[in-house]
Amino acid sequence: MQRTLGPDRIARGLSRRKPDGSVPRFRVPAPMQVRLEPQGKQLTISGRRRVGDLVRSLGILAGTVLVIRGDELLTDDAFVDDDDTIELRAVISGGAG
Amino acid sequence: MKCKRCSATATVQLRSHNTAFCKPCFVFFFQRGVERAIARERMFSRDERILVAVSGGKDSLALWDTLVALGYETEGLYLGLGIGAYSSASEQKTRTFAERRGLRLQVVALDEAEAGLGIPSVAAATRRPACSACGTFKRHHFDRAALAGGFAVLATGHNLDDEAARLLGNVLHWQLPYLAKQRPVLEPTHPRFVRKVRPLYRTSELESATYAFLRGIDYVVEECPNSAGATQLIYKDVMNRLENEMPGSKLAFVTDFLSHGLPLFAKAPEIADLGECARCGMPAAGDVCGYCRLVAEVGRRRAQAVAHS
Ligand code: SF4
Ligand SMILES: [Zn+2]
Ligand SMILES: [Zn+2]
Repeated sequence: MQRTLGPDRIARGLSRRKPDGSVPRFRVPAPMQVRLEPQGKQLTISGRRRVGDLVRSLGILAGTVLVIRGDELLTDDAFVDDDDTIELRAVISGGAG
Repeated sequence: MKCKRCSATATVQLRSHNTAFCKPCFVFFFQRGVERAIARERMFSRDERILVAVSGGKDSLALWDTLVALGYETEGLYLGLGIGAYSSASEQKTRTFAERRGLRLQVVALDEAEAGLGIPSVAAATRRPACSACGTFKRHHFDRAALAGGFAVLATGHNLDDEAARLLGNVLHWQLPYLAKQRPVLEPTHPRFVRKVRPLYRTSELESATYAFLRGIDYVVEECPNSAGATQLIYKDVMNRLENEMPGSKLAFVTDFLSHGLPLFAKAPEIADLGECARCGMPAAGDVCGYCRLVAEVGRRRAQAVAHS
């Protein structure tokens, strides 16, 4: 099971130490970084979810963005998770020409 | 999700075609689709030289890449519109694209430096919408370059979404003369014009963006600043909502129009016979072509502004 972490825990992240001064056994994952292009808007989202759900939850119509992770494209049924850096790149171009 | 051709893990899902592909199979599917569109509409043959109008965006670069991959003889034409950072970024990306692939590229810059004929200056001087001035300039310079270079065909990157949005607009306002001309191949109406074709007319924006990404094409993702709020975007949004509920709607709208609707509109009144422009020699409906009239108007307005100040 995936544990949900509060913002406080995330903020303290890696620097968190146990009372005895030892480093905890689990690395606290950083939330997912989602960038919307070409708007250049940056979002931070926590927790594993399907690409289709992520896109829908942002009010974006299916098929109007490329979902990019590194050098790969993701389909709607793929999962994204904490520590991922995702770009949602609009495919619509406008104007009269 | 699995690729429908080879069962590898899919990278691309195309709901409109009820299919999914891995990278190599999608590239194959895309190029074959363009080749079939060219053949179906008899756009051009491998003996003809094609001038490809490129803007640095995903569609025109994906088109150029595909035509080269399919073995056609092409040359690119980039028109510098003088629209600030957007134009510099798109010119640089277009140049890089052509250089990396060893392709011939012609760059025509609107004369902003000497004559102040960049799109923003022209729009401001004439109080016209930027896109209207831009359309006039593009048509003129594309026609002129195609004629000067002795090309048989001018190809542009208009995609299925562009065609569907334009069709929706034309139907909403029952623009009969425009409906009669909305087709992927326009035969020249004057000996100084060349055939104009839109090989991506059946290819969606999702497909051309996917293709550009998978082929490693570095295109301008930013939009022209004048495109915000353009009516075209509203039509595209309507079509995308339809497509979301009923996958395949866009393609059916455009292709059914071409097979069933277009023949009914083809009888709409013809535009007057074309002569030649007294100033530039390009085809014109009156004594002077639309482009030369616009340039003259810029000069007149500027002279008036100086006289008033
Ligand atoms: S949005 Fe308008 S001004 Fe900008 S490139 Fe397109 S037609 Fe020209
Ligand atoms: Zn495959
Ligand atoms: Zn003229």
